[in-house]
Amino acid sequence: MTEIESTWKALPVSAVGALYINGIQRFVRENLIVFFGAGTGFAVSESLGWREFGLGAGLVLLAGLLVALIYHRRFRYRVDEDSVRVRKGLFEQQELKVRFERVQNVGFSQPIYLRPLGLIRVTLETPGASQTEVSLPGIASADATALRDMISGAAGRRNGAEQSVDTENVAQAQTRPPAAFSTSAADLFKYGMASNQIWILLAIFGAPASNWVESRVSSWVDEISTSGLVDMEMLSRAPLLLALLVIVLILSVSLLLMALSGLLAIVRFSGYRLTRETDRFKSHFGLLDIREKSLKLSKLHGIETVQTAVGRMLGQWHAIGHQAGAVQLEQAMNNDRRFLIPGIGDGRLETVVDTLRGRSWDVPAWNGIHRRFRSMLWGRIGLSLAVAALLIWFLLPGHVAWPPLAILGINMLILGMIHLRWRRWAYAFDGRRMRIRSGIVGQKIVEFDLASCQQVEISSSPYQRRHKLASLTIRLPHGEQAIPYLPREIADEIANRLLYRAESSAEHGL
Amino acid sequence: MNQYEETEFSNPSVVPEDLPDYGDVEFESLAPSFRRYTLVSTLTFAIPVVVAALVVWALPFIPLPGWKILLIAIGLLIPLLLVGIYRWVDAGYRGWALRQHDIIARSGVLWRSITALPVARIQHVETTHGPLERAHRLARLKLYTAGGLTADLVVIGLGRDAADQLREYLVEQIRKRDAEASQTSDD
Repeated sequence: MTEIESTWKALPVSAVGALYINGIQRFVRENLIVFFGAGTGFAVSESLGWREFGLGAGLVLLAGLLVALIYHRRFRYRVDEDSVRVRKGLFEQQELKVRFERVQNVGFSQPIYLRPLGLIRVTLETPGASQTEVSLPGIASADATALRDMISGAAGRRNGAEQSVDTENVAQAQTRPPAAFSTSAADLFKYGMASNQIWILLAIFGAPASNWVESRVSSWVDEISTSGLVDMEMLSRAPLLLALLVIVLILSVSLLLMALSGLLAIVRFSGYRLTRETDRFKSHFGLLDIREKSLKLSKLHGIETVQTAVGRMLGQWHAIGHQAGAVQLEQAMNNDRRFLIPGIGDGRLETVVDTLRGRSWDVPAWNGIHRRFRSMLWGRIGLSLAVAALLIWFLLPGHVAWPPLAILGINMLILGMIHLRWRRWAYAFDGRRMRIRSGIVGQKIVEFDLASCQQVEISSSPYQRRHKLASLTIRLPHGEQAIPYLPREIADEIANRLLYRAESSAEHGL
Repeated sequence: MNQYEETEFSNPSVVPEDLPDYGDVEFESLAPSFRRYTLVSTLTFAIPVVVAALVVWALPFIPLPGWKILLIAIGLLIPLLLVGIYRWVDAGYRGWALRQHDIIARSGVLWRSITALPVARIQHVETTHGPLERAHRLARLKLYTAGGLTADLVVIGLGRDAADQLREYLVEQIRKRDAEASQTSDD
């Protein structure tokens, strides 16, 4: 094992370029919406031309270079026997210290511009908020691997005799251990199509883009009608044909977006390999930005497997290894910290989850929730919408039929979705582990050790009490899981069991 | 019928009958002054409404007749009254219990909930009290677990001394637990 000298060190000079690109990237990403607004502003305003735009951009780029230089000058890191310390800050100095034991994930990232320099960006993730994580924006690859081995070595020392195994393992790592799971480009493409990321992008850019599309489309329509290719008169006399055209257009745009998302997934996760080592999992992926993530087994608190609605059609799943941390915050910021396994085909799901869990799941039976969940929602939502439809029919002059019928149609759709949701919601036990399944068309299964439960809440509404029912909310280190509408005694029993496991296990919280 | 209706009342895996049942615990009720505190704190919200009504009534240049002002003020005060009644009743239902390994709190009148937090999962404990709570010698106990950004369980309406004792007790438990944990990992 190569040791790193325990002195304060600066980043290599070649890292300045990396810092610069990284900083500009982050600046753009964090102010994406502002940029979009500015872009629209430029497009709309006539007094501001390309020259002003270039001047502004040039100023930002120059300021960025200055910042990168100062940042590099003030950045120092030091690797000690059991911790990493980082000093940084442009105007005020900040010193962070992370003990190796606290690190739950060592992330390597090598974007395309770092590759010729032989540098790697290292992120040490800790259970706290993302602000406290230590990141070394570009160190030599040899140092990076040495650091990683020191950190996992620290974990080995904690477990006594395992250290010899661990050093053996490091030697093995150089000869690429067999992958526990790897994906093909086709699977990744399908994963990208099924992931809902593209819809989030659409939601962000939808509004400004739709303006542009609208102006484009109306000019196209004008062109087409003047060219006489399509008879607009005829179209306006055939509303069904027009509706069909619109639907075809929407479908093709969605397909295009999904294909784009699929390509992005290939670029991001290209060559995905999951490997299992003595005390951790490692994933290695990326085309432009080669990444390596590691997840200690002892820090793996929950396994989430997800199949989106599109994924169901394509037979695609993805899995997430959950660590402690505020999940809500992470999802709002970025999903980068998750240990994601993309592109799992239907047939391989069980093997992958068994690998993560370390053994197989023996009890396949799911226990559903009480049917009153469905009947209560059906009754309340169905009835109130039906009354609304009736009222509208009654109040509208001339008793027009289509608005109330449309409401009834939507009502039927909602009732159907309630049924699907009710049917999907279920839980299962296998010894000390529990699974909770939920979803409507797609599904999400969260699996965890009973002992990782942080808090249990049993709540009941007057309706539930009348029918001896209760809802259970389980707080885990990575978020909350709920099972609604359980018979009261079963809810109590599960709560007792969770508490018993949490309180009798030797491990605590993190 | 479908498969779920058949399975929903069965519980496939065996649970020892003698698992400790959280339902058996006797809940401690809150400090007696808590009811008065809920009343006073609700009333403080009424003060601005009453003052505003009086000011409007006293100002000569606002052409609203007195009964209208009264009506608006009452309209604003009724929801407050309902909140006050709810909190009064809720204060009677609220309770907490400390077992050897967990702390349990109960709240709610219509939508009731019972929350249990294992002591082994508590990361950090704190007691806080606002001015009004201080005047009633009350305090609230905030319990934090891993992963949460906000307090995971807040027990309100404890007597100051009870809250401090609880906090000291829990801190001691956490200290013991951490000492044990570091000992086992050093072996």
